Amino acid sequence: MNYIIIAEDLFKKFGSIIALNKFNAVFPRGICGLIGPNGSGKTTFINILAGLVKPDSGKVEVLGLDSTENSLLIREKVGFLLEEMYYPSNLTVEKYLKYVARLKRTSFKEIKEISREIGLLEYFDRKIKTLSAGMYKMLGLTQALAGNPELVVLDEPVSNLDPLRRIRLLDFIVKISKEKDTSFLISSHVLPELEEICEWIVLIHKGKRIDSGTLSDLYLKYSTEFYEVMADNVHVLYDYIREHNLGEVVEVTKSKVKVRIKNYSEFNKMLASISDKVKIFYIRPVGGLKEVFKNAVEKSKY
Amino acid sequence: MLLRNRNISLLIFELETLWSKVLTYVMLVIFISSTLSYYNSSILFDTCELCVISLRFTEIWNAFTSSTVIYTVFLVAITAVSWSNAIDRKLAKNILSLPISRKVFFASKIISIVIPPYLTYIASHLFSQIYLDNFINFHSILITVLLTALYTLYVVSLTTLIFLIVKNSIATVLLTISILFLPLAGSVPPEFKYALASNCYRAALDYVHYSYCASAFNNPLLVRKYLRKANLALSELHTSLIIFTSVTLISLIVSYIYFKKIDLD
Repeated sequence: MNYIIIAEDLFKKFGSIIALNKFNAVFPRGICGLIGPNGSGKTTFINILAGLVKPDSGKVEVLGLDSTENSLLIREKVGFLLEEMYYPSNLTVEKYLKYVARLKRTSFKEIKEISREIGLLEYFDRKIKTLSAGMYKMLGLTQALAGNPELVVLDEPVSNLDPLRRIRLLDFIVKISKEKDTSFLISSHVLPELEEICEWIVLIHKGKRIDSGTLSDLYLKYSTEFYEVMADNVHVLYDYIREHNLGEVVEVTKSKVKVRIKNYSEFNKMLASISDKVKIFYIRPVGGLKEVFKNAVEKSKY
Repeated sequence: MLLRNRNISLLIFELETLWSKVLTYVMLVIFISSTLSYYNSSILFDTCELCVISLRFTEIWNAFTSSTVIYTVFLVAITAVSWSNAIDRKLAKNILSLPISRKVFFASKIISIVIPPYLTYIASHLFSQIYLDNFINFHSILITVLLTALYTLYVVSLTTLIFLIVKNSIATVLLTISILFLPLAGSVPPEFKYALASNCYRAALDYVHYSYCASAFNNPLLVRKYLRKANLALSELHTSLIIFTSVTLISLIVSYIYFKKIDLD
């Protein structure tokens, strides 16, 4: 597999606090998620990727480049949206982004296009200090996406955004990823959104990787026996599950069927075979990634 | 073409970010008013031309010595604010997430702090000397322009170093001002006076003044007397220059090494 980020034995301590404790992880091309609670080491890891923090030991390669030795080259190829960013408040959005265009050696036209897509264009003549927290985030996002980077690292991109902007942003990420073949590493604790777009997930807790893999791998490994299936025709789905004894149907709503299943892989395979009759939007454990993460942490203790 | 250069763009960005309109107006008012008040626009009637020149030199020294206090406090405050914006308010983190090296960022930060106050300060002094005093002495102009440049760098680099160690803007301002004005305290050894800007300006202007006097007389006794005084001033100037240059260089190098290694978390 072609990995865009490889972290080996990363260790970082701030005073007496261990932020990363022999963190090992790989991130393939595509949209990857880094999941963990507050204080788990996500931001420290991202700061190390950006060359803003130096690890005490271990190393990390980004696009085949060592993060401590080639940090400038990495920042040429990677766009970063960091969790805490300060922008010069006395500048207008337009003026600031013009500087970003010059510093990233890209055209202002491209930045304008990104801004239009994520809804920042209408705020161009506003001073940065008058922006809401959500728009502040959008400004950082425009900066990260400018210059057509190979990889975009986003630290908590959807926090402070209203639901409509969240959806718009995630759709935009998927679109960019497909159209421009840009990879994304998204660190967040807003799990349902990550669940919808991430192809690879790394679970981090207390500075250590608990597990990683595709969503279905993690569901299979850590979820409970309760799953919910969202489909366009729940009645056909319900009949099919009962007919083939795929599991015990617990609840049926307008668009979802909650099932207690015995074998996830078999269940998944059987549902795939009726794709001509029913359109399945998703199959995920009740509680989703949150449940997976909880179970993974529990399991890692033993 | 120039704007397309990334380093130049960063410097302009730093200048625009730090020097808001209000701050620039405040700086102009402070520097111009503090400088103009020390120059005398009246015409000096004295039979002795040399005495008039001596008075003008004393006036320039007075003006520089007095306005340097305000200049120093302003420089220390603005340096602390600028670094506080960069480190505490995470502007450095934002800029360094772009393809900008720490070396370029550090250099552009120092230059953006130094240039506007230096140009304003020196321009207001030169304007006063030339238009109010109607006194044009190329050597005194050259020496004050260079000395002020060195002193500006000295103050900014020392403040930068202290900020990077202390990481608190108020503590930095208090500590730097205490260090810079320490030689004024009565109980410190007299050698400390070489680290004072006023002493450096006096030595420089005395050197120019006495050299001028020596060249104006034909009497060998007087020539020898003024040359001796000029040499004494020159040796004092050398000592001050060595102190200012070495402190500036050490502060800049140590600050840069420290900034390069600092974690911007």
